[in-house]
Amino acid sequence: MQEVIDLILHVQNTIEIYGKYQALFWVALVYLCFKRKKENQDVLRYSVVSLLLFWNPLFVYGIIHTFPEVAAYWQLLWVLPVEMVIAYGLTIALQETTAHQEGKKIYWGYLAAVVVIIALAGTIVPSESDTVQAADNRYGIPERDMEALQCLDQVEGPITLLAVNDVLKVSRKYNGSIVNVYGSSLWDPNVPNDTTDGYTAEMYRLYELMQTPVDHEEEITGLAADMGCGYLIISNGRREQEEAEVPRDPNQIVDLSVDVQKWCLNGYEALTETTYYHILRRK
Amino acid sequence: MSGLLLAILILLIVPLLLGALWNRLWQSLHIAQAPEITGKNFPGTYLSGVFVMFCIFEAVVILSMKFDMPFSKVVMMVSVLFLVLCGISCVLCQRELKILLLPPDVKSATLQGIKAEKKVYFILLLLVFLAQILLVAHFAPVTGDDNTMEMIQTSITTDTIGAVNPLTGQPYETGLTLQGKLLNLPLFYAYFIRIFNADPAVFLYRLIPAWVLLMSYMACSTMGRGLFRKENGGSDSRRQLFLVCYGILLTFGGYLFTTPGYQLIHGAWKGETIVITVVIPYLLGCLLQLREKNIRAMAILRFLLASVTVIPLMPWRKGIVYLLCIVIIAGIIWICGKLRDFMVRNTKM
Repeated sequence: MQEVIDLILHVQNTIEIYGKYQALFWVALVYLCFKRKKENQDVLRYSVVSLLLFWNPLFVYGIIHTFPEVAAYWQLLWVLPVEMVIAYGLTIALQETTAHQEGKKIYWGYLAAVVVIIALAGTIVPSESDTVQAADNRYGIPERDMEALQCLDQVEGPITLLAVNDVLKVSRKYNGSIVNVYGSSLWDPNVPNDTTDGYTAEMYRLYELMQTPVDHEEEITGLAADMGCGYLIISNGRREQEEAEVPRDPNQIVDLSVDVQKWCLNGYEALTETTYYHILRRK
Repeated sequence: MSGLLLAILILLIVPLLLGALWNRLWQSLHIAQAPEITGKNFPGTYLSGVFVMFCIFEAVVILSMKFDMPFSKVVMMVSVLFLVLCGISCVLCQRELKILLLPPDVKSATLQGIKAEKKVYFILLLLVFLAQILLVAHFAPVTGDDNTMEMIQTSITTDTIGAVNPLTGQPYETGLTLQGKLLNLPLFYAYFIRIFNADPAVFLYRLIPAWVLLMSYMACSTMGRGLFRKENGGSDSRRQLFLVCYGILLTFGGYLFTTPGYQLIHGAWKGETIVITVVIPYLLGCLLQLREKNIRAMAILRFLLASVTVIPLMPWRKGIVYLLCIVIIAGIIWICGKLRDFMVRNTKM
């Protein structure tokens, strides 16, 4: 039962139940409750029964143990269309204003006020959660990664690639000809992986080495060559330099740039360099 | 560009024709009423057509996987099927299509014949819709753990279905799980990209969200039809206002990843987004329509069709949970209603 209670509390924190559209939803429900008209009962009943069902500990227990696919329990609340309930309440309230002659005169003023209230409850109010960036390009791939992938456009034939995680993750979104040594499902359990195929020990070892590539150039290039990687994309250190905290003492600033010559082993040669990456090719 | 425009046309026309054919089929079996009796239901017909498209595509892909057919052959088979069915629809469903597409009388065919209030609501709805399209175009698609684009690129590049791992580009050794074989929405998109030679990124991250947005409004309209019935004092203007309010809520509703507004603006191409913003409201609309005798049978059929459509859109077990929840909630409401009627009758006696 403790896990059920923990889950319910987690869901409440996730959907920010004390603000934004949840508040408008409760206002709409209370309004419909007080209206007590027969035609409003459908929405009211569905909303109330949904909430009672989803917050019922027995139901929660049944769902999380029978359907582990429902990894995020709060997603079940999508069965209750909150926006439609709010829209329904607003429609009834706005139409009621036209029952009186004075209301008819300022009806459009009421509608404008509704738009302002909704906007204030939504994205107009700055939120830490609203962190989606404007698109760099039509693929939605960060420009620094796109720049590296575009260097491979001129290559004819299939490209077997080993790259840092950020580039590897988006490489096949950009170009279906790229073959990766391992996929993002190796390190990200949220990535759908609808197969019983697994990854080999060499792939896991290569992934671990790629997280701390400094001083592992020989082993990485050796493993990559064994697996037939035609191209390597590694960081040139600029991003790490930008993200590192700048120390007060200028003498303590550490140069994080990567010497590409250290990577020219096991048949690899430097092909080109982009703003953030070195690209190597197997001879 | 021309490929994208053609894709838009096909996505607008084919579902309508298939939806009309779906209605005609049940009318010919005397399960559904004629459109003159049930009235005009453009959103319901269009969405039925979309679900029929999904189901046909899913059936063809599953069969193709069984016989290891290349993707190009699937494209050809599906195209022929859609062409044939649309042709049959054009021949057999002329009456239904006329009712759907043409205004009921000459007066309402002109701008002067439409009430001022309706015109204003329509303009507001259009503005809200355009605002959402601009938001979709402006923001980066939140791909995160989604691999739709990888599956599209894989099927187009390798001309295979379910044979190559989309994440690595290497052939599967043991193959797909059952869930993987059923989740074929990315292949549906790849079909359109392939036949129209469209840019995959623009099609998937810009065009499809616009299409899903349009469908979500249609699903909301289906709910509106059930909520604002004429016998309860409902009217077209109330339904339009309901749509406008819904649209405004979606436009400003992208403040958190848990909201449908966020999913529509930043990830509308995903199957789960289509389920929560189109299929679920459509299912609820069908349940509301059970109250109207003359469309009850059709509402049940549409409910079943939409339920089956969940399979290619999201993990099937998760989809079953959503469907179960809706059925359980509707069942509880129905049982409580019957119990209340029983108690009221006993009290009177």
